[in-house]
Amino acid sequence: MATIDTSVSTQPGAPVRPFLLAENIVKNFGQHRAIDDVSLSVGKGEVISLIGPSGAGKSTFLRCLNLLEIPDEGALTLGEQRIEFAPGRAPGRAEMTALRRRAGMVFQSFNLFPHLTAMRNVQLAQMRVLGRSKDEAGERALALLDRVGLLAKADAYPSQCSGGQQQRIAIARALAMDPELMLFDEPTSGLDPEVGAEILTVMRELADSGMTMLVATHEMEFARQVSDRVIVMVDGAIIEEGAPDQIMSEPGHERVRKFLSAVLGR
Amino acid sequence: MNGFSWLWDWVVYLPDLLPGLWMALFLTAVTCVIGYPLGFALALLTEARNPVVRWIAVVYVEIGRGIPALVLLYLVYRGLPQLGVLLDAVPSALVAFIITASAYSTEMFRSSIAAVPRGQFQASDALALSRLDTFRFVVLPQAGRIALPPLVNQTITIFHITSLASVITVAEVMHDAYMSGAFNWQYMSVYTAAAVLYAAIAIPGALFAGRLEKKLSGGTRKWSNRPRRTLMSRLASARSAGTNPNPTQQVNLSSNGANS
Repeated sequence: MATIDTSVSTQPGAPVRPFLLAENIVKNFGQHRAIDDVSLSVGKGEVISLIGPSGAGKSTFLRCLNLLEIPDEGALTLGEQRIEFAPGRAPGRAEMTALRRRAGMVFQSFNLFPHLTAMRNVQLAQMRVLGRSKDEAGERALALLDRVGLLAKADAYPSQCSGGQQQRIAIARALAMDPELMLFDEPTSGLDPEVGAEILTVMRELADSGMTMLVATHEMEFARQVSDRVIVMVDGAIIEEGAPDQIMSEPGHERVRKFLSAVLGR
Repeated sequence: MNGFSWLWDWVVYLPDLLPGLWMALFLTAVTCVIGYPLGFALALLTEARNPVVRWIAVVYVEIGRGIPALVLLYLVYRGLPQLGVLLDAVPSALVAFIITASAYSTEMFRSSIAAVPRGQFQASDALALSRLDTFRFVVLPQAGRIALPPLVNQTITIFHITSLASVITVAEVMHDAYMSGAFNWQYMSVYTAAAVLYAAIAIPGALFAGRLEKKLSGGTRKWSNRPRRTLMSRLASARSAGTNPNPTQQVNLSSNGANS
């Protein structure tokens, strides 16, 4: 169990009322329990890093939060919207759409649409989901591409962009939906370290602008410097959480100590 | 040497076969225009949630692929009249070929849709795109590029298969060749002319399919690594010409990196 008392904030100044609340989320893949009764409360504007070994369920948990995976049990609250899960009962399409358009996601493998230019990648969902006009969506796309430093690549196709550029376009694409929450699923894992740094810079700026962010990552420096809270997942459960410095310098759990010594090389 | 005169004589018989060529091209065109959309619809139906619909589609496809076009031709032209369905030769040929073409293209469409990476669906879901929009704007354009080269090859095969229609009296190339041969007794020259006509369409078609595949698959690094200016100026000229940079303009649909 990893229930968090929402009335006691772990961070000075963190809001009392959670913006995102995951309660007792369970997700099974056949016989395998990928997410085992995970609860998490996130305040508006909070930046949370999810760390842990591969296969710990970080990605699956993030994907439960925007319903790319439908949890088998538990409940999810985002702002005013609450969805409860039970085995064999999927939420309705309208409910899922309502939640997804408020939660942007950035993938490890970018998943840009290869047949569309950077500009069209950022425009498409704005026009089809938010009903913006082509001009309005185009303006917003250019502004966001500018923000991630890729205005010059507006007319380029993903294959004409480097991995780091593609990931920045993917961030612009997610931001174009004006999400209230951003989920990052190991956004730098597929990239060279120095290219990953570009992405982390964009994410840091995003965090500074007050975006609520959940980041599954192996970037310990990012976790330490940018996040308000670090959560350690192992075997589908949260085994430790707290302020970054506290987790990094004095981990309480043996598994966390082992994991950190492996990733930090000490 | 009279024995080798067919090596050049065949040119003389080409005009005899031209009306048949137009018929063959007509049969091919109608078969594809009706058969491919039908095959596409069947591809969607084979993935339908309703098991009855799925079952009907699968049975149709298996029958269409399992029975040779020649047998279908006879069934439609000579068999159906016994059941009270009487069709002329050309419509009979079209019905038989459309069954064959739709059944074969179904698998092509199905596998090209399946070849669109899962990450594309996930990205669409994460952006809250509706199922229809995901299909229309994300899956279809990518599946289309995957399906196009095999579809061109399939069209060549159908063009070849139209030669069977001569057995039910359709006046296509082989029918004309047979008539001309029966009249002149120059079978070697006449059938060589027929072979040249088929090859003159099929070989460039196959080369075109090969080039198309290279262009669209993205497997050719050569193309992706071309100087960007070429590509950008193409896009720019497409823009300035007042057209959207349409899908055919885009040449390097690469699978690297963008896919999971």
